[in-house]
Amino acid sequence: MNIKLNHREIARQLDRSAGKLERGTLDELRLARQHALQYQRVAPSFRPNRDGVLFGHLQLSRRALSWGVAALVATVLLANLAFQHHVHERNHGNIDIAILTDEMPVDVYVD
Amino acid sequence: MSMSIERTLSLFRFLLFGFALSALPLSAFAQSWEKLSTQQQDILAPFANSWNALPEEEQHNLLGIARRYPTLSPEKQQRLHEQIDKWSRLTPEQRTRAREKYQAFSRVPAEKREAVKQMVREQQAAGAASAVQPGIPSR
Repeated sequence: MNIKLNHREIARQLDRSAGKLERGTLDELRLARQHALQYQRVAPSFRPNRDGVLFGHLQLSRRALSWGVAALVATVLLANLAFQHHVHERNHGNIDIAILTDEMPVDVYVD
Repeated sequence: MSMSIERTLSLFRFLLFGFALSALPLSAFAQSWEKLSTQQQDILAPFANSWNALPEEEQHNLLGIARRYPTLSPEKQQRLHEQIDKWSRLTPEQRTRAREKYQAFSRVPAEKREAVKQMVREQQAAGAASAVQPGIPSR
């Protein structure tokens, strides 16, 4: 038997089945639901307002926010600089080894 | 008005952060010759006297060479030993110029590069022969 049910039909069937459950079982299910709702985490909201930004229960002042953004941008900048520096030096190191192990004498490359 | 001052201050803070932090890795790098390991000192021996006066970038390059030295083939290690003495006698500017010339030479077509190498080999052979010549006793 292959019956296709839409979500409303499924909900109706579930309600009907729930109505047939014993009183004790229903109470336990209700209690479990209340427990689950109690421990449910509320996603922190990120809401800017006139005094700064409200992140969950934490109020950040404009000053703190600007320092935070500055620190974040500086960290990204620093990481980028460090990476560029690393790549640049690695390239230099590779060239130095190539020159020093080359068949041609170093003098050839000196003015 | 106060908003624009605050924005300017924020920008200033950001720039200050950037400059202060970007200077850290370079200034934190400098190493004295005495602090190098014995193996590093052996490989970089020709730089012993000039090491502490070298720019940090040069020190870093040389330490990179010392780090990669054990991974080179014995022939390349030998060649590096032969050349590093001359390399140490160059000024940092000459080394920079040498790198540029090496890179330019690498871009030359392979057959032309080989022709130049052949010419250098012949010059070296001729130089070695003329150096040996005076030593041969005349009869």
